Amino acid sequence: MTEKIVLFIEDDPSDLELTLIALKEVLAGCRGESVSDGVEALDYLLARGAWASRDAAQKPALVVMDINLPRINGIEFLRKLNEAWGSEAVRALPIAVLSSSYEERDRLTTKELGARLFMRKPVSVAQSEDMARRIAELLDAA
Amino acid sequence: MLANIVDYALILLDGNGRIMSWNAGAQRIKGFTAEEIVGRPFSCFYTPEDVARKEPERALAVALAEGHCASMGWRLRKDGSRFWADTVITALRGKDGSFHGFSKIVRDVTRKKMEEDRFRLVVEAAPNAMVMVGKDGSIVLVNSQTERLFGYPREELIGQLIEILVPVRFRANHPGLRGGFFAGPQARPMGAGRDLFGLRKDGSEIPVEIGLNPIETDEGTFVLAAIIDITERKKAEHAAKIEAAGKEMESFNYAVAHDLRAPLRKIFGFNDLLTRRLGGKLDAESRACLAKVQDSVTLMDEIIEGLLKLSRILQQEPKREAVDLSRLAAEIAAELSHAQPHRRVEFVVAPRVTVQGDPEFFGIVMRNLLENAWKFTAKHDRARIEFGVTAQAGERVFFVRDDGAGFDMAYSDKLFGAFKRLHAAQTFPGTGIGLATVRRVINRCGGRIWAEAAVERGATFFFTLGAVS
Repeated sequence: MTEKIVLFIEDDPSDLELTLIALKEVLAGCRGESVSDGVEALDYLLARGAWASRDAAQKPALVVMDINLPRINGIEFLRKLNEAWGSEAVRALPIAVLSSSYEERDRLTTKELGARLFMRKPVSVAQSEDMARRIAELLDAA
Repeated sequence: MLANIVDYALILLDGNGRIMSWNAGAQRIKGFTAEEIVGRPFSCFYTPEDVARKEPERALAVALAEGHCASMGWRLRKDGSRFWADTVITALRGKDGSFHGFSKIVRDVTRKKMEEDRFRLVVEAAPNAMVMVGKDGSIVLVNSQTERLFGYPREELIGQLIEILVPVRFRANHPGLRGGFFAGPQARPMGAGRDLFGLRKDGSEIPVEIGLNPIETDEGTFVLAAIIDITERKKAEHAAKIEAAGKEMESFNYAVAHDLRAPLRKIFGFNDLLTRRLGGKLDAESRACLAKVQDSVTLMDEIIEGLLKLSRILQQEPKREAVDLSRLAAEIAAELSHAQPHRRVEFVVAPRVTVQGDPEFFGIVMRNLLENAWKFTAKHDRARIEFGVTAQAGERVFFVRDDGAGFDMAYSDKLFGAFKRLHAAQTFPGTGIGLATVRRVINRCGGRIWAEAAVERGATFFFTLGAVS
């Protein structure tokens, strides 16, 4: 069985650290990769630029992404990925959006663009556990 | 010499109005030779309508009494055709005052009359209000659009100073401004850069745009003002401004939501990390410190949420549909009881209270008021919370009443202000935004909210919902 790759798109290292800690058990046995903005995320998934040597056919098992990202933000990233891959291929990839604030508009847009999960970054233990559970479900389904 | 003047008809009449002499001008204008006309009454130039009205006799009588009589009107030529005549009849008297008859000077101004008529037609047909004003500021001509725009019939405007249409606060300066225009008349928009207003007969004001055009005539310079009602444009501009402000507010909210919450997430996350790593090694007091950090995070998160909700409500256009407040109250009551089953609270909800309005708005109102009642009865073993409706002065007044902690009416003015709290946070926790939001929502509906309370004897919040109820 090949190692599952989980791609994190997050520009804030502290946020990434907290997410990784919260998901520690969920991610056991997975290989985490991280990029810090939408441009790099596209490069990664389309195997170009700094990631040109990557095998584009090897898709991550899960993408965990922020919305507020430098250069190309999360929504723009999803839009461009839809253009490059087509919406069906994007929908086949489990994508979890973790935003610092819950915005109904963002939830709808990212859902439309193929994201499977939209939730706030946790600010309580209960929310943190809820996030871990929901991401585990996504990963299991992958 | 007089005999050779051809632009004017110069005619002498005897005391009875019979023609005594006739110049070349008269022949040219009227078509009769002197031989044909001398000795006939001058009334033969008048139209049958004027003759029937005894206009010739009137003209002579006025000239006799006042020295002269000027008139304008249609007159007949020999061939029966009509021309527009500008006529002055003068009584001729000797030095001793003896009366010798009349002189009559006639000018054919048909062409000018046609031009004037055409001008009037054009002005009348203009899509905007048009007002022609003389150098002295008096109105000489208005069209029907002016009557419609300003609400005056034209008789009430002709001869009046143009300032009648200027709001009182601008009147003092206006004669100076119009004097300035006549000093160097050229077509230009009026009041460049300033907002202009017109004053209607009913005292209301209308935003206008005015174009000024000088018109040179034989009688001197006039100004023709074209007045455009820009009420609709102003409304559209206002709406666009509101929309832009709304959009700006929305992106501000978005930034606030993200930028304030991002650090909060880290405070929680790292505090949680510390708690997990050190939990076992810390004494109770230190663990309590970490717990307080978490409590603050939770509270601040709720405050941000409350603020966002508050500002979103301000931008939202309320919907209008039937909302069952009784059902809403019962649902919220059930939720509250379910969340804290140990509490012994009796909910009394008046049945079938329905209103017209925005369900989300009413949801916020009912939820906040019932949650408040729930919260402020928490220190009592048993409590009663009531939702109902009464009538005051023909208006439906809704109320949420509890028998809880109440408050001192001396502080009731602070009740609905954002972040104002009447209770210490330890006794009754809260964000201080709930009632501020409720008041905003109710104000948006056109209603009012007020409260009656006494310390430890409960509180009642009354509200109306304006026209929607």
